[in-house]
Amino acid sequence: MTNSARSSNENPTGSAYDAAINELNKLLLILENVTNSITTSKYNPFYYHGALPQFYLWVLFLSGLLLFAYYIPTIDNAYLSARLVNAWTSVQYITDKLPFGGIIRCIHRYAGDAMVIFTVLHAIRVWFTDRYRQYRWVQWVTGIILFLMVLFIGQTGYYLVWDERSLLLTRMTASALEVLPIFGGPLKTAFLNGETITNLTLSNFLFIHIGLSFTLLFVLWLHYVRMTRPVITPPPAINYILVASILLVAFMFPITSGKMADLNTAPTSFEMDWFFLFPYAFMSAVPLVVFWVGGVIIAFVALVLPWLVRNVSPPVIPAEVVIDKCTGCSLCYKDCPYQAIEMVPAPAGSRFKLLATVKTARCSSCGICVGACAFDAIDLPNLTDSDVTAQIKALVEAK
Amino acid sequence: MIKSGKDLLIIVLAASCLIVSLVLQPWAELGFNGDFPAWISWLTGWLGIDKFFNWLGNCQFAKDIQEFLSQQGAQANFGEYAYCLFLFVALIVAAIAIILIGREESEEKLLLPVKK
Repeated sequence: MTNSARSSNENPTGSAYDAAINELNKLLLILENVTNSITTSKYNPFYYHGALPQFYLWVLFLSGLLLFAYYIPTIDNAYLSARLVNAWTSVQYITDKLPFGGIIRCIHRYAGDAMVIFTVLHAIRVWFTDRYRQYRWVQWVTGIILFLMVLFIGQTGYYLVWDERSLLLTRMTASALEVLPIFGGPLKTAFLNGETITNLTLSNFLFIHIGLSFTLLFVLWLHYVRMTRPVITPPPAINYILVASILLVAFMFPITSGKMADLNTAPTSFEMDWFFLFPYAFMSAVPLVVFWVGGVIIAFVALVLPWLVRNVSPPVIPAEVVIDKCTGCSLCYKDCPYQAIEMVPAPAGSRFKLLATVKTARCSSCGICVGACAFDAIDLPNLTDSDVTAQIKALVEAK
Repeated sequence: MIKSGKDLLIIVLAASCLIVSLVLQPWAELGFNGDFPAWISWLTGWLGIDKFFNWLGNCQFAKDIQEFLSQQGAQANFGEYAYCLFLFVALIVAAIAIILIGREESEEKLLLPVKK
């Protein structure tokens, strides 16, 4: 049993927080078991919860590439002439004229919404199952950063349509940036790519939308770097269901644009998409200072969550290598799911070339390395072979 | 060939998937008025589903879909949205079939390693 599993089952501190997490974890386990009985473990989406948003990311890249081929990032309205070519008309062309363009647009939009939903569910799952701290803090912190990036990328997607909602969102964002101390002015200028909204502004939005999307890949790498075998692709049956869900929503709710943005007008309301635009609801409800302070506090608390509840469970006691027995075969190194074992040159005088060493900060005390070793050369100090045998016997006798 | 109810179910699901993919999706894609007998004559002749095509052409289904999509804000390409719907059905049927077929293989078999 891992340390994290112990913490969620035994409720060591007895705090209200711990009890609540335990109850929610039990609820998730019930849902998981029900899903298993229907789909078996192989096709249970609970076991691919991290891979689901990743799958939608690939859908977004592909559909975005197709939209990018026909998108024109300009805001010209040229007195609304009949042959007008700008961002809004290019989006209209994609939606109504281009074969399957409307569908691709729907897929792009709803895959983004789905990515947000599944990212939140993924975060809730790792939170309730206590897999976000200690040796997994890197995944949690990079996950929060990824989520914030996805939100911002999604919001820039709304700017690109260049309807009245885009105009209002752009103005709200510029105003919000302007109130920031010291960097407010330059940030607003960088956001608009100038002092006012021009064609360059939309070019900037397109660059942010696409450039930041590719930056996601780097942060994803950081997200995975401490995992030996991350599950990043769901099985085909789940992929089919994920795509099918998007197609059904595309049929049920076809995407349309609002009126073309006109810089001489001042729209005051817009249709809300709660998946991406909820910060704007917060922004319009409170003073901008409160918005920023509140936003920073929420993001900071989310980032440091792994350390806020640090004392809930007993500390992880890392595995220990018995130097005299280690043959340097690397079996433990290959099996460790957290890359907590490093093979180093064996000390002088050894019969073997390599020696296993444990990176204590990464060790989860899961015991996989103990099972992998054929030479009894690695042990958990607080859980020896005889302890495990005794626990199994006790469990069997209890039944 | 058919040894159990599961085999029969798989065949029915596969046939459903084929019908949706080969009949309903092209029908939607071609704007609800594709010349099916000419386009996939081998299929209509082989399966004898001309009556189904005729029924599709005459029923209110297309009008209902168009009306629904119009209410939802779509302005053009209704057939493409309907294609989405039928592709959804085909994908869900295919997913169910895959899960059913792979079900036995996916049952976890617990093998306890023996340490020597």
